[in-house]
Amino acid sequence: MDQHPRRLCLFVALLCITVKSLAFSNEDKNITISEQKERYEFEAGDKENPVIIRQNLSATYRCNQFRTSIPFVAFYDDRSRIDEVRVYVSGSRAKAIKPTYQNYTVDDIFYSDARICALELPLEKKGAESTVELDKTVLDPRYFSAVYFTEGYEIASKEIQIVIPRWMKVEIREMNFDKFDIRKTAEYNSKRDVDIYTYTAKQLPARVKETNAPGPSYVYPHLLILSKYADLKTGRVNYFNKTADLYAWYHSLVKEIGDDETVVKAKALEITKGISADTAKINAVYHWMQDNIRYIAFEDGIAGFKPEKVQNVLQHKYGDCKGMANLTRGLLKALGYDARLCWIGTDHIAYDYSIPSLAVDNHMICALNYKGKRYFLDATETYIGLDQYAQRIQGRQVMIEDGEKYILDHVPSRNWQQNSAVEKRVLHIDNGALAGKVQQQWDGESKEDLLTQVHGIKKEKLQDALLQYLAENNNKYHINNIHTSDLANWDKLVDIQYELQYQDAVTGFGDELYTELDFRKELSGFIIDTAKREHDMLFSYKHHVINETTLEVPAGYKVGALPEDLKIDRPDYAFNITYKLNSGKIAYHKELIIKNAWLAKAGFCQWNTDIQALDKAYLQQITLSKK
Amino acid sequence: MSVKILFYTVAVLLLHTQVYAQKAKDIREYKERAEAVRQEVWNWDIPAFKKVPALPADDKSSAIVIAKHVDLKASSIKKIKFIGIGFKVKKDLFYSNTVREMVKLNDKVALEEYSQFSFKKFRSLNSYYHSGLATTIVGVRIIKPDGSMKEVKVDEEIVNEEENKEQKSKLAIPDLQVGDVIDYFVRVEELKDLNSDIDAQIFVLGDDKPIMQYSVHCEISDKYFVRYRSANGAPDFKVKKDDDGSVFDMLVKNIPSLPVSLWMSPYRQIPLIRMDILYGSYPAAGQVAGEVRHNPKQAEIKEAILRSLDGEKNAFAMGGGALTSQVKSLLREYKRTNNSDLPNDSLPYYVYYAFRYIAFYRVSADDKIVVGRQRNYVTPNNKKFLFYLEEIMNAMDIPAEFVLVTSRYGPGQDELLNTGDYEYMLKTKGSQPVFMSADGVFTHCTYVSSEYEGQTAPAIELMKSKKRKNDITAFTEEKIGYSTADQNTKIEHIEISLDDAMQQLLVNRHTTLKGSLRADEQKRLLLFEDYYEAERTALAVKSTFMEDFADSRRNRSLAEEYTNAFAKARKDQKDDFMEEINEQFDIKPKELMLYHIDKMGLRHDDPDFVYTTKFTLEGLVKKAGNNYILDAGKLIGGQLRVKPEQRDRKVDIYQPFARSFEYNIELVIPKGYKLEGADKLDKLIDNACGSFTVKTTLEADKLKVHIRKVYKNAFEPVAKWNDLLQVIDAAIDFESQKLLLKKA
Repeated sequence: MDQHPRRLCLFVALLCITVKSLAFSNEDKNITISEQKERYEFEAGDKENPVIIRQNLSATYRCNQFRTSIPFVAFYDDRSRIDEVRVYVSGSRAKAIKPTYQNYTVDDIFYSDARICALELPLEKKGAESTVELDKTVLDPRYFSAVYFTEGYEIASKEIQIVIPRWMKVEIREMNFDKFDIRKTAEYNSKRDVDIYTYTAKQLPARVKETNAPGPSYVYPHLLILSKYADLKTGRVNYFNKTADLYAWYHSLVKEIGDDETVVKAKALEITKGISADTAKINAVYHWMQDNIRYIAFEDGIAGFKPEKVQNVLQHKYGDCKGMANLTRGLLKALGYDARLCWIGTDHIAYDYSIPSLAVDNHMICALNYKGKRYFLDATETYIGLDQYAQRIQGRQVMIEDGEKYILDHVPSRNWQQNSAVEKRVLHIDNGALAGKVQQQWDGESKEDLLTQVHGIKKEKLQDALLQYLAENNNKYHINNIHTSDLANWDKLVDIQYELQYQDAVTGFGDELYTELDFRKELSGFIIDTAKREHDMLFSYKHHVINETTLEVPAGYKVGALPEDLKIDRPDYAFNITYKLNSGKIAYHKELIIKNAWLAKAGFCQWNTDIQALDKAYLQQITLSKK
Repeated sequence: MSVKILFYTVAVLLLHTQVYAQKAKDIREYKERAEAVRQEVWNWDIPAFKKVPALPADDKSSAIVIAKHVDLKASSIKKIKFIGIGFKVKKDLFYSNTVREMVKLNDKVALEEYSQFSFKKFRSLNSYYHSGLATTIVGVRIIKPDGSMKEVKVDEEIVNEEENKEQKSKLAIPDLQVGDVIDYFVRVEELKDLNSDIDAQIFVLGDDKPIMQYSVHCEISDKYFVRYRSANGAPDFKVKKDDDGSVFDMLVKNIPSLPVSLWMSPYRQIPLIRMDILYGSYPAAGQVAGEVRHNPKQAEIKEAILRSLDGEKNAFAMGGGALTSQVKSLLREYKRTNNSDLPNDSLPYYVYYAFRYIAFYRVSADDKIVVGRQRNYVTPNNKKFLFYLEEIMNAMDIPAEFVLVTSRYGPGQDELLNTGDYEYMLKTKGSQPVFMSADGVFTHCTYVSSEYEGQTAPAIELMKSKKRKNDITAFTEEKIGYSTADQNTKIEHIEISLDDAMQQLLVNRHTTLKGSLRADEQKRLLLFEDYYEAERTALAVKSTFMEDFADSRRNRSLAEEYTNAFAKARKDQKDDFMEEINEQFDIKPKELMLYHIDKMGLRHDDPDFVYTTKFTLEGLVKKAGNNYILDAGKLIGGQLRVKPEQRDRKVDIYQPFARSFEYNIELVIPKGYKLEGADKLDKLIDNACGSFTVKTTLEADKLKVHIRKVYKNAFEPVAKWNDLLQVIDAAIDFESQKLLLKKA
């Protein structure tokens, strides 16, 4: 909240001139990078930073069609620094162009030590080139984990050179090279006792930003730099030689936390007061964490890896994933349960713990071993039940603390049935309307979706908003006598029942009545533009939609025509629609299943064909004819 | 090293040392000051903040403001300043503004709203003319449901970020939960030059949440002149004098949450008090230090605006000369090309369009290449545009006067506080006056913004001679009329046929936009390359900038670059048309076969914006056995929906302007099918506020449907709300209308 938010908001909005900002597009390749060279050299540092990495970058941008200027941005943080930036415009040093240095702010991160060095780079005319040279120092090899080949612009020629003294043990892993022509040379410079690895690539395509796309580590060619150890004159400095070293480092940070167990025990007892069953206690702790601790993301230097003390999270009532995992563990441990901290990479990251690197994980959760079963509790998922898992962590490898050792396990995968959204209606025709009773239920991630929206609505508007949500803003869809299960309890599925009067849903022409029984038409029009889409498509979770509607055929009418059924069953998804006539009732059944949340590009054409078939099915009506 | 250089180096070093020491000192002093301010604010003797009252447990509000208090102080203080060669006692302006709120949080939305603060502890007020520093101090306390109170250690909890070379502090409020009461304040203290402005004050007696008590206390020294106005039923301050100056107090209880957000004009509907605080006396401006003036008379504002106009006219006179030469040069070229003089009555129009061309259309070699859609959204400084234009008009002996109008969304002529409340238009004098203003790239002569409709505006022709003074008696009154629904209209002719598979609609659409409905679509769909060329030709400018560049050795490559940029903009135009169709029909067209601008609507004598599109739509034809159902109601696109909570309305209705939407649909009935249900489409709702009519004519192989929706007035009193709802509901009803294509 900014200064004086209450007083000004009304009028600022009123007086502002709105200028639509239209995103910069480089689809036409007005700008390309004619040459980019990056050199990374490991060097011995000082006592505080025994090994540092010097980076020299030179990127030359070319204007191909018409003059413009482009933003140049370089990132740095507490563990790195930008030493110098030099800009050349059309071959001449442009000293007047000075970069600005400031924090990099992202909407959903409250505070991060990430900073940007930014400048506006002019390209003077068609055919002109401008170059940025940047010198940067990374102060700790642990944080120098990956070098990517691609940029926001197409690159004609790219060279990445990594210079590693023999005293430094580094493994370089080449990732996603298969679709790109990247060549490698290695030489040993005996004079300097260094190995020089040079990678060159030509005509690299530009990175493309798309929604619902896999993380860059799945897609773009890059080098994973695994710094294992350094044999310096002062002795060996261990980095991440093996996964055990990665764990040892994490564990050393955990040991430094300094939790106050007394405070947390008192809270655990307060939360579970009057509860005797173990599962109820565990549920109560998880629910309390989800409901009372706000997620606020901090990414701040070493604090970006070290969980906050339990007493601090408890006192603040907010925390990042590490702090929330630590407090969840603390509360459960205080009650005598075997709870452990876990490190995990969400499905945004392509790696697992076979790679000893900080690039492997980006999240922390809590594991609970109870009666021979292991549960994973992620309190940052605010409205999901115990033993239910969000898509982003399902099936992901997880590193679980185990004293000086660690355990590798996987978060269970769940199929679509965890996330069922079921709607059952029993309807009859009432004077041009479809009327009757409706029951809707949501579970798993569909429940989490619903409750996130519900709790994001102001209390005074909740009832109206809920009705609008159920009616999908259709003002002919009148809902009465609504009964909802406790929307503050997400341990069970959410159940909403109501009476429906859907006006004008039946149209009469002469002796015939026409109507349709699907009011929601999920996935309708979900055609993927294969000409534009570059990446695979990721669904937010494995959806499962069931709609069962029964329509009583009105007296004096018979069913003239029933729409055709639809049955599509693919490995990744299934669409099923059936109509049955039985004892004067039409039974409509629809089931949509996204079995695999990851739809590969190779499957887009089939998907589009199937969506067209689904759309066609949605565009069919029931005909009732007068007897 | 010479002595001179040595001295310079020392001075630079000193300066750096001083800046550094100043910073460290600032931070030390800030902490002390913040502590003192928190002590002071928490100890305010306002009973409403002292105890959380019992609130109903079932309260439906997301949040309730239990108490809100604004404390404002303005004084001048003496300060010792280091000015390079010695010390000098200097007077500075001191201004502080504290807003304290105590809010009960009833749900997660409210919790989220109050859970984070960001502020700048120090904000430089230095500019070319002024110097000063603003300091922001924040205090937060949390009161738990059991009555226990905890103060947040703000200085310890904040994290700092760099933002535009200044430090921004962010605070996540700890231990804040639903059910808590947050008691927080934000104080801004400014120490700055005496001639600096103090922020205009607005005390708004309304919010999106109920306010149980709203109070204001201002202490303003006699060094200041205070002018304030209470509007829309806001109460007056209790004003008393003390030794230092004037003290203002106000207390209002039980303000309900704001009623609706649809079609409101907050400046004219919500009780509020606006206040100006000005340093010193300026008798010529009627400004007397120590005086408090409530609800200033219109004449006073007129005097002030006249002075302001005089000053601005002088300021813009210099630049106006060069621009006049450019317009005259264009005019000479026009005369040469057309071999004739312009008729006198055409001159004002020519001048306006020539100046618009110079301001927005003409391209010089140093310009950035911006020829895509973003160019169409450029908004000018209207005042600057008009003063230059007036200079040019004067130079060309076209008498013109300034019309000082107020927006329907700002304070009215009877509620003015200062000259900033006026917007400007120009109007030529004579038997056929022409209004001129510049809302954007496509504004033409005679255009009057819909925001000014229905307003009475003073108008004055500024005297040209320095010896003759402009006088308040010279003001005349200009009554700005309302535009009609016929003037602001969208007319569409839509030919529809079905494809052989009876799945797609083939749509051939001809769209005409008039009046205030034009500008948004012009901005979305027009190409600079096209409108530049149209205006260049109309003004008879001999060569294009592309030709000029091609002839110049230095800029030759620019012509090629512009060709490339034009090609890209033209390619992007297809997406803009796709977006426009998608927005209207709520369906992305399957294919867009044709899009064409027929008339750009750039000038008053050809003002309509007209375009043609040909595309296919899917999803509006449904199969029912051998028959097909057409979603006829969706052929005019989605209609405005009034939310349930907006239906019960207690305030007047400020619509943007009267307007109408007309659709003439011709549906080709596919061979082998018979059309049924056309008669059910017919509808006639017509009342004082608007109308919605549907009329069908069935011919042998064609159905003609004429649909017209009219909002008759820009303003409706709340008593007419039900009439308006009747029209809105009729349009919504139409959405679900269907036609049957029955297999013959």
